Amino acid sequence: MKTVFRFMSAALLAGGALLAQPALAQTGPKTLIVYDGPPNSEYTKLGLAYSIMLKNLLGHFDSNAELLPVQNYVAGKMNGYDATFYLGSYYDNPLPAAFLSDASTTAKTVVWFKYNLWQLAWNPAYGFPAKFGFDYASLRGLNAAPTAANPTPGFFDTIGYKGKSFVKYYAFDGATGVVNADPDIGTTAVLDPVKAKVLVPVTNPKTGEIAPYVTRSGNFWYVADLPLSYIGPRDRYLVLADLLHDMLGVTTPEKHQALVRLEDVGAMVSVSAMKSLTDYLYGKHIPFSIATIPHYMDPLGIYNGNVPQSIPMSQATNLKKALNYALPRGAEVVMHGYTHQYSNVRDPWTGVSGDDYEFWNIVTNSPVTEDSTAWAQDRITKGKTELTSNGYTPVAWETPHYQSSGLASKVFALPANFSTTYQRVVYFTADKPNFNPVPNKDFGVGQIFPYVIKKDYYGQRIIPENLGNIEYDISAIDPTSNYNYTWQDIVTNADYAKVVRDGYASFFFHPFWLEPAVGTPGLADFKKLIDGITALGYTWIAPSQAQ
Amino acid sequence: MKSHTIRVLFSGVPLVFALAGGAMAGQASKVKAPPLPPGSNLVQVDAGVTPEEVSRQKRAHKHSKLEKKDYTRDDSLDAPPAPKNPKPKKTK
Repeated sequence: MKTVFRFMSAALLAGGALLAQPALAQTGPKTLIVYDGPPNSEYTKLGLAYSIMLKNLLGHFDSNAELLPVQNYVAGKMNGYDATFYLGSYYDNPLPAAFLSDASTTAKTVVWFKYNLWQLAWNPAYGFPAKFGFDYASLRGLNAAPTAANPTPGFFDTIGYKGKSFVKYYAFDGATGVVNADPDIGTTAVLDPVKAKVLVPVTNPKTGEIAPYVTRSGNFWYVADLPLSYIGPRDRYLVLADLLHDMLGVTTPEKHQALVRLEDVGAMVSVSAMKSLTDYLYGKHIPFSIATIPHYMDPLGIYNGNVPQSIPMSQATNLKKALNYALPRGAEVVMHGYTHQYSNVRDPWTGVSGDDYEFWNIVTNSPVTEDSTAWAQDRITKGKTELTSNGYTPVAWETPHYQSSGLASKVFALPANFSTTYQRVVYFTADKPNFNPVPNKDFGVGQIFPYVIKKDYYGQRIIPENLGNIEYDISAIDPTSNYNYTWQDIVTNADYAKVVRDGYASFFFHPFWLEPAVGTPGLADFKKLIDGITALGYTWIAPSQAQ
Repeated sequence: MKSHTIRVLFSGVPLVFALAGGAMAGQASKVKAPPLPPGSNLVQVDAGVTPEEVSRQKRAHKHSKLEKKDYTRDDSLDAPPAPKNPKPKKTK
């Protein structure tokens, strides 16, 4: 495989040189995303969901992609864009002849994902195999239908890229027979190696077969999969995130930066824990941030003997002590909600700050009753006022539990509120989504970013958090905290993140893991994690330095 | 669908692909799609992060330490456990 990767690197470099357009790096390439939107289907809007995700990634390149259902494509349109991405998410969705014809003749970059390439490659009218030097071969998926006796029949699930194996997600529920996975790929066959190059392979470990995962012929790219499903910190999604540089012809030097954020820091924070973490980071000259909850609320008195409790920033003496100690030692404040809980209800856990969602009703999986631009703006204003009136200026916004309504996300992004957010995001195919399984149902999709997104679907600038956080099984204390996510897991995630040429290693950590009553080796593991990421060659920066 | 096998050299790695035989004989206006793979009716595809990542996001971190916590008491001022005094050495 060593030879293969050397060969692939050369091909990538050559491709980048051919497509390099200096002007694009400054203004951003003009991009078009064409997606399947079959009318009156349960999956009518699934293609839009994928398109939103790709648009967000293209936002890294300062590109404001236009989204278009393929049935609305008009002849010649893609010639007006530097690159067109077709997301084939719906099997055998009939593609307009104008789109097929343009895809086969345009001089601009075309990137085709997953399904329906047969409509172009197998129609002799377009002369695809002769022109591009490769042909569509077959549609492959599960090697067999899974059964109780054979729950993992296997599929082409392992993508090899830059010396790493990216294994696609797979989960089979033997009780229901449902497979949660995205096993289908379109296999291709290179007919003319001068014209077509396989840049990334995918293997089927059960059968031993190897097939092309990414194939390129001049300005035409074919990605056998749609790597925006079941994504995670070690997923083949990172391969796409990296290859977008080459697809767009953007030259980016190898550069890896790291971020650490202390999480859910509110009125109940332990000053001792915060001082220990601050002293450690300061001693290593590592800048960091503190996700600060301005106003503590326990409206049901869950932790206060059934007596409701409300602690504004002005009275949160421990919180202010912790911040005042950390800020001169390299910390920056990130505003983490206003109260990090919603109303006087459990959403879903306790109604207490730090526990619950604030801008999303996770119980009903819908926007909260009051959801509106004005309601969200009011909370932002109140939170910022509490911070600034106590002398703190947030450098970024972080949505509690990374989920809010579309309307609220647009409010966070308003220039008067926050120029930067620092988070993962859930995106919706409508501001008031309807998830009922009917034709035209909406989708909500969570997305992780490996690098800075200059402008996402909601207008947010996003600094990434892509590695996760240390977790301990403390189910004896809290039944919901019932699994471990170790510092080694996160270092491994950071190692994978390096395949993206400008990939970040960004994680967060809860200071309460240092509190003696919890009984976990929080500080020791935190130190090991910092050391592990440092050893991978990342440079630590503060959120305000992220570019 | 009739198929035949071709051998392709890809950067020195031999690959075997099943190429649809009827492919190039497709109709000009509409080609026949390849068949769906086995088990396709059981497959549920979701865009976005994995269910495990969703679960991690949703979790809270409540624990008994928060019960009646005094948010004004600075625990960094708590005296560390006093070390046991070593027995003084006997001197002659």
